[in-house]
Amino acid sequence: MKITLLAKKGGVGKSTVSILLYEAFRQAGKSVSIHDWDAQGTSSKSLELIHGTKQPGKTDTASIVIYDTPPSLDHTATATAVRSADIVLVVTSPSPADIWEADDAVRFAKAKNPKASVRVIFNKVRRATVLGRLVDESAKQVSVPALSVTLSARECYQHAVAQGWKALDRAAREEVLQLIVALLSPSVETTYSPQTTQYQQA
Amino acid sequence: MSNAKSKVNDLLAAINRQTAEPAARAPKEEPVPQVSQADEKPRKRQDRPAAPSAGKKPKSKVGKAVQFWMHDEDTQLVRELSAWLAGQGVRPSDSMVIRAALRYAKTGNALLEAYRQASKLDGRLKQD
Repeated sequence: MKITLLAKKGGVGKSTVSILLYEAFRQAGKSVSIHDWDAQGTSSKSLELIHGTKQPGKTDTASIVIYDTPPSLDHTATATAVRSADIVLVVTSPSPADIWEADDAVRFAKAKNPKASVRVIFNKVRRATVLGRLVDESAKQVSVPALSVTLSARECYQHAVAQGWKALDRAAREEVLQLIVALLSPSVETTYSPQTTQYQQA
Repeated sequence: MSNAKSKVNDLLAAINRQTAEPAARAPKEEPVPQVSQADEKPRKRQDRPAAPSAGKKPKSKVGKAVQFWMHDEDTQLVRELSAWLAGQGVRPSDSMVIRAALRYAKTGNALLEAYRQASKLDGRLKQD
């Protein structure tokens, strides 16, 4: 199974999410590898820091392959990763600017690979804030339903980039595992249907 | 604490179920009913089972011809790799050497450096 992490802009947490997925799949006993196609190389550096090598285990025979793409839809590597994906996971945050870019990324993924399952994940969500409370509402701006699971703005996720799974507390582990369960589910569980939004109306 | 652990374990188990190989999830084949020798009628030639082959090998595929530009330096690299492979007891064609090298290559700074070296020789690309 090939999962491509996609975002039109940088800073939304693509590499962090890719490392979290990588670590969670490993915990589930899966053989997994990351293809770090982002020139910044965050995922590669992270794997080297956590496991002492850029790709622990056999990469050619991994049952789960995660593509970490450059923060651009114009890059050849991004298009290639999207074309070869079974699941395209568009990473965004509750910020309006990020959501607008996420919709572009969703349309890009659908155009490049109509067979792939395109999902949206909200990262860095602070539920106690106005934007955090409006996540469900904001998600309506994207042309595919967002996953019901969101990733909270947790400091331990930043630690996980350097320390791996052991840096995550119980709540964080559950959140990441729930994300994978939702990601692999054939249908997206949402509590809303995509329609006109307040940002579009404004 | 045990509840928390069991929730994580439940989620891990759910992921394992979802990512199970299709072959593992497929229902087992129903046993084929055995026909006694007496009941068995002589079968036509086309009904007879095919001769057993020596295990199921992956179907070999014929590639398609592609054209790309090679410089003398690149050909020399292919020759060197062929020579090394010959020392390992294989006699590869140039196509096989290039296909093997593509499978061996990994993304990263080394690839970027190799690309820059190759592009210096390429007359079609603008030089910095």
